[in-house]
Amino acid sequence: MADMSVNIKTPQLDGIIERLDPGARAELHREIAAEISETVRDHLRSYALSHHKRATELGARPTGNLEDAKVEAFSDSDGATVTVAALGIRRALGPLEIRPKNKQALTIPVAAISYGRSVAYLKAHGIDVFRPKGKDYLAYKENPKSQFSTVIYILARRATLKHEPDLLPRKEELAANALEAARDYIMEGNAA
Amino acid sequence: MTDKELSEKLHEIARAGAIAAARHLAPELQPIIDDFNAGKANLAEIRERAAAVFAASEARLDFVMKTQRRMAQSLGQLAAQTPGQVRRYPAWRLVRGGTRREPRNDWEARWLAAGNATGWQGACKDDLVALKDSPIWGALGDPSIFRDAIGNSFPPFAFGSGMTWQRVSRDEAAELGLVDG
Repeated sequence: MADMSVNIKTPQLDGIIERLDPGARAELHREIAAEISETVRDHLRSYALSHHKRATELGARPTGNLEDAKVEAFSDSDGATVTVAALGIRRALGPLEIRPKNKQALTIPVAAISYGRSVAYLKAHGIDVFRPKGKDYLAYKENPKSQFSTVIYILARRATLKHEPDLLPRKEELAANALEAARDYIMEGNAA
Repeated sequence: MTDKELSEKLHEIARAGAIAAARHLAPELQPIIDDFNAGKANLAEIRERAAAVFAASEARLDFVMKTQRRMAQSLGQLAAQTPGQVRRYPAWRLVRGGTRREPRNDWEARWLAAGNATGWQGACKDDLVALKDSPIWGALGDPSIFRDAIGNSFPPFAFGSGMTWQRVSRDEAAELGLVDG
């Protein structure tokens, strides 16, 4: 999960927040957290709809990692937190290096059949995935009698996913929306 | 109904939805789906783990896991419906939230049927927009109206559906005649 702090402090807001009792402050933070979570959810949905390049290139079905991401809001009298549960969301903050977990190499899918599927999964479904001697890739034969094989995974010690600043809304947008939610809360007489 | 009452009603739907989701879930898949929902594993790892404990085709496994994930997303959205949110964004628009190889193109017809079934209470006829407490949402997920409906009053409404909610501002809802300006 990614951490992103958004500072919406202004002298006017600070003055009002200081006068709020802890209960009202918690309500205000809840409104801000709800606004941020909705802004992030809307953003991820529209981002995901236009970013299926890899799956499209391979002729595979998109994994839906972003469009279905769970976005949750938490708040109390001290502040508000929004979490985004999506693998690789940290790319929004900078390049993300990934390394293999409990195995020697990353298996990067390069074919529709391997996209969203592990080697063990394919083997369990009767696909004979093999590593040709001396090669840094895994392959399989569509026809076992054929001399031709198809490369389906590239093996890599590590990979770096590039920075995707548009993956999450800009800080300025989040701050503006949070401020609007706070102003609305106050205008409704909750801070009287 | 006040904004606060509506906010509480939407939270109640979220609580009921979470309970229903847990009841219908294959228990052996629960921890795997929890990891999927929490973004702790990619789809390849999830499919591998799920296939090891739940004998089903890939399509069925994907259906179970992705439906649960979409429900978790919607329940999170319902839980975010504070009084301020329902005041400033009183309606939802039904939009496509995910790409499909063969998208179902009958949502306008479903909207019409659901609207007719509920007397268009709080719902637009010309746009897929309705107030957050409109009964049209329940009708869209009602299996007695649509054979493939799941029984949810929140997305996903039907099996394998990629349709979801997008919030609609008070200004736009007023233009559509759903609320006073």
